[in-house]
Amino acid sequence: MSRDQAYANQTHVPDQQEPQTHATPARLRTATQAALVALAVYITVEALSLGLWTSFGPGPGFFPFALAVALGVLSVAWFAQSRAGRETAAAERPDLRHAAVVLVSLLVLAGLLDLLGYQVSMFLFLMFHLKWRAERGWALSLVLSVAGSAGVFHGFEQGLLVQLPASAIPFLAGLGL
Amino acid sequence: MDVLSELLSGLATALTPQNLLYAFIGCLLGTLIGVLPGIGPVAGVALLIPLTLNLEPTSAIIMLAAIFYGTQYGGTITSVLLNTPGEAASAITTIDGYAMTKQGRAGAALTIAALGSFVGGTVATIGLVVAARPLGDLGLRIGPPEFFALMVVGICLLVALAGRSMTRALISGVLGLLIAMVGIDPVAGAPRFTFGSERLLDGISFVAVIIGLFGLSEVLAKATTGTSRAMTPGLRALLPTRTDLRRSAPAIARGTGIGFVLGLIPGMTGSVSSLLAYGAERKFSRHRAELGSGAVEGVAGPETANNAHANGALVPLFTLGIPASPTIAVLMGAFLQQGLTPGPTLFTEHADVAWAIIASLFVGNVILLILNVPLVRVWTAILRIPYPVLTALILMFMVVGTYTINFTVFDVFVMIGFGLLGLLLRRLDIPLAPLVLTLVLGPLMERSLRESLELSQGDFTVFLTRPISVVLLVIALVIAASPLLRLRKPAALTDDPEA
Repeated sequence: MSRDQAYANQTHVPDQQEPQTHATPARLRTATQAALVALAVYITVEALSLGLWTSFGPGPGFFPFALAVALGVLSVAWFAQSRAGRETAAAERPDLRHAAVVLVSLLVLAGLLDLLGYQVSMFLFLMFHLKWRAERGWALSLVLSVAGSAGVFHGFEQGLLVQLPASAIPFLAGLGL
Repeated sequence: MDVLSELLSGLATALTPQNLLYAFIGCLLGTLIGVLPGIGPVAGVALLIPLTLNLEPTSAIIMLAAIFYGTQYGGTITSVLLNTPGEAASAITTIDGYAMTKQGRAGAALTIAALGSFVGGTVATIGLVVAARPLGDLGLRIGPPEFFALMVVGICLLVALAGRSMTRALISGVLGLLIAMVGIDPVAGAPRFTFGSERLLDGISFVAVIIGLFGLSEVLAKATTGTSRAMTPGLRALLPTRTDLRRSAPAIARGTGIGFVLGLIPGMTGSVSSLLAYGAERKFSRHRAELGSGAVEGVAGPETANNAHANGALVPLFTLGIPASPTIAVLMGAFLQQGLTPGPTLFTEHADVAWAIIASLFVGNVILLILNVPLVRVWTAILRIPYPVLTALILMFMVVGTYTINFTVFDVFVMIGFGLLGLLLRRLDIPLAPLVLTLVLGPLMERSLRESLELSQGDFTVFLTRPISVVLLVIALVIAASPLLRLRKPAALTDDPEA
């Protein structure tokens, strides 16, 4: 089986007639509702410290205070609705590994961007995704990675007069990276 | 100056080689975004805002507007050729569009879609020209209380039509307003919710939030569920037959009317228009029995409605400063970044810019028509690129697009954070559209609320003592009660990521 076939097999074409369930995982939902209530409490406290009213009228905390109260009420209402059984919970868990890999790779890229510069960090990022995740050949991966790193860097610099980050390491900066 | 001379003056600006080039590039990029799976019009327009930051305001908005309506047509290409809508508004086109492809008539389907889009977009732009002045003058007569009430109506409409649960849609809307609160208070100048960070004094980057919420979360969601891929069929005949054209004409007329009228209503997304246009064909078309098996009306009606909707939705933005959809909200964000405030004052303070942009919509529709028919083969070739490769390139553009807004890696982290939040909200079935709308409207809404209360010296009845404000708030109340009145969006439309 080719890699594209393998990829296609793990996918599906949406069917217009296919009934879709949009159930929400119960634990995740409850945790989110709790987090929203906590957020509402935090904003309420902050808004009160900012001041709700001044001699001219509403203060900086007035609008956030109203929003925090609304958020708290809505979160409790959502909780009550889910407890009343108006929402069903999903049984299966989605495979989050691919999403986690994408997220971690992006975090590493963002973390290295100022240190290694755009060209080196983006080259490594693209090689990781193209060669190892997408399992493309070396030639295609290298060409696309160089185009997406050095090509985009110089294209932005010369075409759009937009400077992408250069490396903070003197040796790399000296090489124009 | 009367409307015609202002429009002609705008046309002269829009037709300068420089602006023509930007409109062309915008149409090209917009169509590409529409074609690419995993990047919808909202994230697409936000992603390309950085490219326009160094341009003068008129050129920047012309390019972004072209990107906006280019996405509408791009989505059609994948619907027709791959049975996979590039964006939600083209979903209904898959039924007859893909059936035509299987009959070897993909070229005819795409050409009819391009023609319908052109007619729908052009007629809607004429509507914008006609409505701009009177609605703009009306807008100038309203004060902060009316403006606040108007924004409440807009938000209520979007919330009422978004998703399956009004509670969750409201939570989304409140979250957007709260995100907009971060930074310096617009009235008193006090820092709010900045956690002592200087980076947050200017607020959270709007573009980073949109790219994260709509673009990255879409990529992450697809990484958990996979995406569809199909073989691209060949294009036997590019031009439609005379019969195709004759049969399409009434469908295009109906689609134009439906799309333009619904485009004026905040909260109505393009998918509502295209679905209703398809419904109209099922009811009124002389060939309704053929719908579902490759009838050209099934492509012409929805695609025309989709583009008429996109251009019609610019009317409330230009005249009242109210974005009617998330994509328009992003466009409004771009206006604000260029120092232009959409709404009635746009025609008094920047009339030349406003009319040049309106005129460019006509030009853009012509460019789209000329561009898309011959380029169908190019778009088809792009669709053959494996999705994992596209993902890597899309991620690269997201990082570049986010970084170049403020030239700080901090925004890239913000984008990643909001990508994660977007994935969570999708998983919890919390619609993203209200969040985007309130994120843009938040500062304006707070300002008008506080100005109203300052004017009335803290008297909250100021909203109930002014006729326009009362009427608008009553409308908002009726909309908010819409679940009870069964004015909810049809279930078939609840998968619209724009909603």
